[in-house]
Amino acid sequence: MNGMELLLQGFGILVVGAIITALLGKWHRLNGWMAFVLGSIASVLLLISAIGTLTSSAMPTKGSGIFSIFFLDKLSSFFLLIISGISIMSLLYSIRYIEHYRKSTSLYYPFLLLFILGMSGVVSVRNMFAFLLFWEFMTLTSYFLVIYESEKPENLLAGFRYFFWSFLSAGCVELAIALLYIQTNSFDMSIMKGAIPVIQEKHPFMFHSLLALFLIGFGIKAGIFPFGNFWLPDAHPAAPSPVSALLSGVMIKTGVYGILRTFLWMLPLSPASNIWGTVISAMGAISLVMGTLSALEQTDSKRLLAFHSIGQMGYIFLGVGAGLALLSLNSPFGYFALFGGMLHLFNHSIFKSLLFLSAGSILYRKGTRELSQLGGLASSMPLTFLSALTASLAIGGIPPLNGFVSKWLLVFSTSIPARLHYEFPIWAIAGIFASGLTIASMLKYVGSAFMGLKKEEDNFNDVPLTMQISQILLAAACLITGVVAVLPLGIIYNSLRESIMNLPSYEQLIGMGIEIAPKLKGLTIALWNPMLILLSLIVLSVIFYEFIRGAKKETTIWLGGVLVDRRNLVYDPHSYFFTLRRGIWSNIPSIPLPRIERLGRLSVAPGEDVYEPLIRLGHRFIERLRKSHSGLLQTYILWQMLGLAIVILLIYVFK
Amino acid sequence: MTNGELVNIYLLLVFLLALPFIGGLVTLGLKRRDADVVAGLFSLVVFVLAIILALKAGTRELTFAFGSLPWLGIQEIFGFRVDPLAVIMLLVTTFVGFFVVVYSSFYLSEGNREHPTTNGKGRYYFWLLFFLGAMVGVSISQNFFQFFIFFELTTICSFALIDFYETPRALRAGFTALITTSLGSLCFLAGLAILAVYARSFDFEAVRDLSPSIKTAFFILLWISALAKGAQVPFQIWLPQAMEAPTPISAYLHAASMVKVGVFLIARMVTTPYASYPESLGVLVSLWALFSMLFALLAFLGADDIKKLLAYSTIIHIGYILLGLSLWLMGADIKALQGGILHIINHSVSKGLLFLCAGVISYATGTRKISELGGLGTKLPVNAIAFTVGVFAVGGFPPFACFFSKFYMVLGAISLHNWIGILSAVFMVLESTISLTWYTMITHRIFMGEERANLGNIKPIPLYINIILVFLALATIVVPQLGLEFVKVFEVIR
Repeated sequence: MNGMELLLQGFGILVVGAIITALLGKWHRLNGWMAFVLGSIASVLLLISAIGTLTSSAMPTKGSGIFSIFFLDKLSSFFLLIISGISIMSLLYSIRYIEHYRKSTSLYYPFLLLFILGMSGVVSVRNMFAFLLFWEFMTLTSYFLVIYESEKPENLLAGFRYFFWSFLSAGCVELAIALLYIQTNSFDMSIMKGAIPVIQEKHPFMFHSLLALFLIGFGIKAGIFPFGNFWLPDAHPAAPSPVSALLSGVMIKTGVYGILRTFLWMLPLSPASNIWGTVISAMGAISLVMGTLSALEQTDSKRLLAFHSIGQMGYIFLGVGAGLALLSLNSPFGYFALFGGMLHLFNHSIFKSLLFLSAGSILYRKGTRELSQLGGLASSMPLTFLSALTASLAIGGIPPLNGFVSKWLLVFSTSIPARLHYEFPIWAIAGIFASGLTIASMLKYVGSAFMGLKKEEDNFNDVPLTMQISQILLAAACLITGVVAVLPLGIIYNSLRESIMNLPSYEQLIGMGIEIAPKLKGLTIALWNPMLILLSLIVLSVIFYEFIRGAKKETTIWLGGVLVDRRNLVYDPHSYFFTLRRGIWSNIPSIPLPRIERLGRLSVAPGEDVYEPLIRLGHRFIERLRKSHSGLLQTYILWQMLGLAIVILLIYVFK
Repeated sequence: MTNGELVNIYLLLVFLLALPFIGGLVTLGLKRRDADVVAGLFSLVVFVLAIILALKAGTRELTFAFGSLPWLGIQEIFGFRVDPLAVIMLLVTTFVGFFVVVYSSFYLSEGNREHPTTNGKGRYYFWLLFFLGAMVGVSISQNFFQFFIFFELTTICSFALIDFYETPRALRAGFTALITTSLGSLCFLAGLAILAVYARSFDFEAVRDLSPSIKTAFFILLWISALAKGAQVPFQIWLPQAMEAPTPISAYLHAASMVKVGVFLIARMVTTPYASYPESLGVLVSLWALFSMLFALLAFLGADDIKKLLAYSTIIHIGYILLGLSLWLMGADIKALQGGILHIINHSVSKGLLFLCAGVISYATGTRKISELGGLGTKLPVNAIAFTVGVFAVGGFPPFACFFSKFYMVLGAISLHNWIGILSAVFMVLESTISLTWYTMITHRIFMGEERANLGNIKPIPLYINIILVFLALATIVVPQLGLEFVKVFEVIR
């Protein structure tokens, strides 16, 4: 069973699952379990094929016959890993979550399974035409998922925005593919890869517009500023939470896959990589500041997380762009930047999905996303609180969680090579700044939702077991991938093997280490460092706790002589970062789609009534002519005399 | 090919041409149910014959010529011509025609809330079958003169069918259609005259013998007639008004067949080998097509009546076909031509489906205004899905129909390394995005959300109509693949 067969079997199971779950719409629980079981089997198959491709040193697997469009190389496998892993969690979570919508699930599970199929298909094809097909298929299925709760008009509007911008991104990619096709007369990616240097030489303008189109197209999908603002903040809250987790955690990463495929794999390292790397990293840096700033003033929990997605994608773009630029200038920091970007991609998919799932849990129990109406949920929902806290710390970049490793790599790799790129340290500083903003924003999120006194009316337990398990597993993944950072780094190293020539050896990049024993040769310093940090953190916290324990004293809160019920002492989320909101314009307006009535007035003129004046003129003229038929014999004789006179005149003139 | 096979094909063609007219005459005297059944049978037989012809003729080129007009000095004035382009047109017309005839039995009945009809079916099927015959005649015409005769016949049939309901608006609409397309026909006639005088023949290949300036004049005259027939600017007024016709007629004439006659004419002219039209003609046609598409797009965004919406969308898509053909004329890759011809097939099927779905809506609810519709998805589920599929098919969403033709045309446009190519490609992508998004919004407005109270009881739709809708929806996936095989044959020398 080679990787390709597993892949195709996984796809087949997803299709079968979609058909089955479409029929079982009425039995929600059964449908959910059916979707979970089938989807997980398929995802596990995809996972195995991905891991198999990553670890083997054989050539990339490709399908045969009609399936020859599929092509699983190491870069694809990395993304396939993320897709299948998060999908399993999302499916598990959906089983109970969907019930609170009280709608037929035949509009949900089939599209969810097909969505997973679409995303997996996007990363595992070698034919650009098939890529485009899967890309649009992914958009289509996710669109139906976004508008699942179609009773609310704002969800429909969010869906249209998402549809429009996704389609536009597909259009940009389509134009770029068309340009490449005309040059190479083939849709195969490897042939296009070979033709790129030729195009670079002969048609530099087309070459750069090609790359620009790819960047814009994939950038729109990845949600980078400013494109992300147009659709992300509306689409991610509108979708059901497990779908938001997939959208934010996985789908926007396919945009990065596109960028990596075109700029890293297809494009050989050259000064062009430097230029475009600079552009990409600049876009990333702007995005991470603007996205996080916009997140600070949100009070809708999912909208807040959506803006954070824009911000964190900025980190990824920063890493990828800096990596491209530095690699083309032969700096070893390029590897670290690239690693940082891709590791952040990996980590972000874990902790962002977890954050969305926790927001979904809150929504499930409380029925609202608005942070000002929440509070004190930590006691009623301890496990959700714990996982949300873990994810918040991870996104903030706190050791020993995974966010720290990737952010550290990014800052480290961009701040040092200042001589090559003067602006990189500025981006690094921006990255640190945004980290701080992220922690602040997460403080608002976790604080408003979970901390404080428990409200009286919250008499529920934590969310159902399946939802809890998915959250716990993701939280555990945050911790494990943070401490044992070697694991994802090793995967990333393997996935880049085919994209970069002369990749230095694993030990050179990730470090040599003290060997414990000859048998454990693979364990390097990268394994030990995080554990040392974890150890020191544990020691420090124990010491502090001992100090504080004795010093704690309980007292009443002084409010200037006013008697206030303690329960009303909540720090309203609207008050957070008030000064920032006053000072900084982070209210980027989203472009509304025009309404039908407004355009109706515009279009009355073209179309049918253009000729009205002409027709009326014609009518009037003909009416006048009609008057010549008066019915009197004398008029007719007069006309005849007139006609005769004209004819005689003409004959005389033209004789 | 053996003589016997040729005779078979010849007989096939004669039957193909004669049967619809005979059927029309037969159904003229029938009423209601009898008319439905007989018309359905005739159109089915014609469709089957068309398939047999396609299978027998394959991708060959065959010509049969007979008759002459000695006083004009031209030999072989009538005949049949079978080539891939003719076969494509024939298949599309008879395929959609059959479904439209069956659908008419459902639509033209008392159950229709918008236009309850009790009589006139004999007259209706007479004109419909005559139209079908005229379309067959157009497809298999051997020269421009014969083409013109059937071209005019389609105009008359369209006029009669638009007038079917005999309301003042319908009469006015039919008259507008007649006058506007007749302006185009006048130009066609002038072009014929030029051809007869300068080339002494009406053959499609006779264009080669013309001098470049005469050739240009001829092309422009025929192009104007194609514009008139295809409702491009400045002739665009007749198509939205023609929506007064019964919806199956709108589906057939004004989406799938009659408007395609004009572009079929251009395709015939352009695919004549060694015709060597000047490249500036391609520039003219493409720029005009772009302008027309833009105009229609603005009107499309503002339409409230669902049939007018689809009418403006048809104008845009006719512009697409003209764009594809003209880009090739300017020197683009053959894919532009292939895309344009494929778009004829794809658009006919998808727009036909959309119109039939719109007809179901107006049948069931009695209104065509989008602002009055809402929440129909629960009562008309099959219609909702078919409409969505049709919307995706027309909008160019893979794997549905128009994606393939649009993609081919984009490829062709980009292969022209000049500003017109890039403008066309960018415009095509933008237009697809805008219209697809707008269509999706319309779909939502109509089918989802709250059901409006003023809609009253929504009538149930008989099973066979749902089957037709599902079948056509599936066809929008299958047909482009078949069509791709067909159009790959077109490797024409300019």
